Amino acid sequence: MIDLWLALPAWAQDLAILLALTIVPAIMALLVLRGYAPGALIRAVLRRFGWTNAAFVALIAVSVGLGVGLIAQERGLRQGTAQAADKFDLIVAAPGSEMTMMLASVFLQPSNVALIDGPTYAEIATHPQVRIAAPLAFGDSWEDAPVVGTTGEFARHLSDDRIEGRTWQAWDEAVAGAFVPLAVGDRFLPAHGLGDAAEEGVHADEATIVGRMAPTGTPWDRAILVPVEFVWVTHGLYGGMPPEPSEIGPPFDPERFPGTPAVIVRADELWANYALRSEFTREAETMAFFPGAVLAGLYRVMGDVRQAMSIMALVTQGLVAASVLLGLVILMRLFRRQVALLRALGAPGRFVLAVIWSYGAALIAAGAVMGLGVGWVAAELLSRIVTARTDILVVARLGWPELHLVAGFLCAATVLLIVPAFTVLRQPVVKGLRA
Amino acid sequence: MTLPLAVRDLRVASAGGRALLDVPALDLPAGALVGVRGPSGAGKTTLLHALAGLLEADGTVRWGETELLALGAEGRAAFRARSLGLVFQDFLLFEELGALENASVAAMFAAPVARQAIRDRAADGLRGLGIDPDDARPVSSHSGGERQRIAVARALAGGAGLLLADEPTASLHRDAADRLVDDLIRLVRETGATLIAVSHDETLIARMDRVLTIADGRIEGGATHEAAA
Amino acid sequence: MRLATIVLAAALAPLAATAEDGHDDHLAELDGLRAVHAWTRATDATETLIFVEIQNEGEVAVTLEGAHADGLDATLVGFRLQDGSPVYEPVDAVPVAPGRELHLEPDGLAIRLTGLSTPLAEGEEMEMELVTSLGEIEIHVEVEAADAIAHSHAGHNH
Repeated sequence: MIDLWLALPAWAQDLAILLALTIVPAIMALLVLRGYAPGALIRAVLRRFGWTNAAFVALIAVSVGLGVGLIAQERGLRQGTAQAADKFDLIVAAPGSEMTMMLASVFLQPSNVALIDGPTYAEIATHPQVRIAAPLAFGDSWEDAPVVGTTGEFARHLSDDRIEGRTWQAWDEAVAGAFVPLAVGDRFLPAHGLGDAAEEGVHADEATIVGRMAPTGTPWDRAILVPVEFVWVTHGLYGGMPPEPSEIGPPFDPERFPGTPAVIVRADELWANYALRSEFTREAETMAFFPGAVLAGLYRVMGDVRQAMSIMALVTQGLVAASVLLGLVILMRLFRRQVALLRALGAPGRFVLAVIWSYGAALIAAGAVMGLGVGWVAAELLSRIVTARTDILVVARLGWPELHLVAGFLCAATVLLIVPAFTVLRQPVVKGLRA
Repeated sequence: MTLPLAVRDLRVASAGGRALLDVPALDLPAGALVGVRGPSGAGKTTLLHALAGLLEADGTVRWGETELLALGAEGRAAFRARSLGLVFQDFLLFEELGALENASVAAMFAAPVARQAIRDRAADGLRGLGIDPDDARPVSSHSGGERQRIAVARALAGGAGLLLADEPTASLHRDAADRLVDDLIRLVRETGATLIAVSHDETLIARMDRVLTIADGRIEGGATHEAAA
Repeated sequence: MRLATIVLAAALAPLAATAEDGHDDHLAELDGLRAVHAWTRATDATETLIFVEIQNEGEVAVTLEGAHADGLDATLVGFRLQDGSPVYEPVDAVPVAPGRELHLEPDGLAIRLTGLSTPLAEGEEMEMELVTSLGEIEIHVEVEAADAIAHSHAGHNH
């Protein structure tokens, strides 16, 4: 049995859980309603307390929606950051914090880090299993856009070769990220530094935009990529280089290489990434890490938060279910008289139960379904805000966990609903008639 | 089908133990029209509720072969659905439903094969009482007289031979009350049903075969009052 | 029933701490190819990952091809982040050049064992073989805490 379950694909397991959770209310409905036709009466009760009922549905929808929105958003954030790191298979840098290095290179968060020297870079770049070894040069900006020096090969890799125009062929040409407000043909003068600390007028060399990358869903969409030589020249770092280098791109002369904070490595084969990581993890010389692994570590830490969040979402749903049931008990006092009347007219207890349960279940089901909608809207809004603020493309879609949460809520609430329904049924008929 | 009533040693006490009703013996033949009168609080409605099996009581209430007080809540409900119709002072209709839906409400919980018969009888009853069964308006928009007539149609739609009415005319103005009394007596006579009606309304009481007077929870003298008409 | 030998840590810990013999238990060598600090995490699942450091001190390149464990399915796998969730995908073989090291470590390469029928408790030990181009090399895998991120002796030089 367990083997059979494990052999099922994930989607089939998810679907099975969803069905199991929704089949319980369906079976309950079948059990209480079998042989009866109370539709008109249930509709009458729903209409009778229309505003109260609408308020109940709204309450359920909002609380279910917040739970749904939060877990969808959390997953979207994870997928978005992982997606952003997708092009960065392996990073080799000077020993230090992997997290700092990842934030600097993948998410372009500036920080001061040690540099890798020319011979080490050459060793990485000439390694037989390395296809791309891109040095990065940070520190300059144009308006809000960071100007990052690298190789043309990396620009093509980052954008999956989707570049409008072309990559640079001269040292003072540049490729703009998708959301940089510069058009092909525009010239710009980089400022020294980033953000508020940027100093205008330090650099004298202008560069020309010759290409624009398609959106990558990463902060690189707001960056301007230039040949690494351009950064070196404008900073006077490429010792002995003529003012206008005629040849750009690797191989770089190890003697004149001014150092790079990070080398983005792309290997020929999947396995080579692991071998390269072992190879370039050298005490006091270099560290090599997978941004994906750093993110996975981060997700593990966040996983505890996520679990706390899931438990909170569950507890909240439980409290909502409890208050909804309590509210229904109070609401049902309003139709004690109708219940007593039904008993006086000879309705069986199960029929009365069917009416009350169906009424409550209708409110809960409507609230749960609307809650999915509320959750979707909430996740969508949050995603837009996060994307706008971080440039990490976050797309939060409703997935299985959200459906399971809502179905679980529906299942628990409709099962527990039988309790208040019974209490109403047990009240004395004569008292109810006089109520 | 109508049934004779035999009550023995019927006692109903309040929660505090005070005797609300004490009927050593009461026998009514099938098809009788019986009025119950007496001062307020004397136990008239309690008697009616006890006869319908709506409250816990000591003694026996036997309708034909059915010993009502020996049955549980479900058994009594089933008996009411099968044999007994109730009419209340304040109608007790489902305000959002239409006339026919109210009159045929028992069809919702009847066996599927019996549903159509209940609806047909409800529609016939409504027509007989001058109410259009195809009028889908909720009953809240009907007049008091119309609503009580719908309630009478509901009480008879199950094919019950016993009709218990609690102050059926008390919420109506005189004209509507007179019309209801006429309709009620006519229908009961036509179907041969037993009618027990609690009422202050002398117009209604005067039309009965027999009148019981209740004071302090006891039936006085078992007096018989022959109908004037 | 698991066929891999399990020894209680209580019996092993004093040895490991004092005697040279103890160290040999987590160091294995074959023609200059050394496998040190093999470890895994305590678990009651049917699947676990084995981590180990491989050092090629010989003259020729060696390829790590997989592993053998009695009664269990052993696969060489590599970590990848897929849609924000960590997955381990099978990797065919990884060469280790002379003088180089290859680390099987969390969020990287690992040997995945499937089919465990009894829980692994911290302090236990199990034996298995790494399959390399030089032949099989036996390793003693120590079971560390369920949330361990490295061998408890990691950082020691052997």
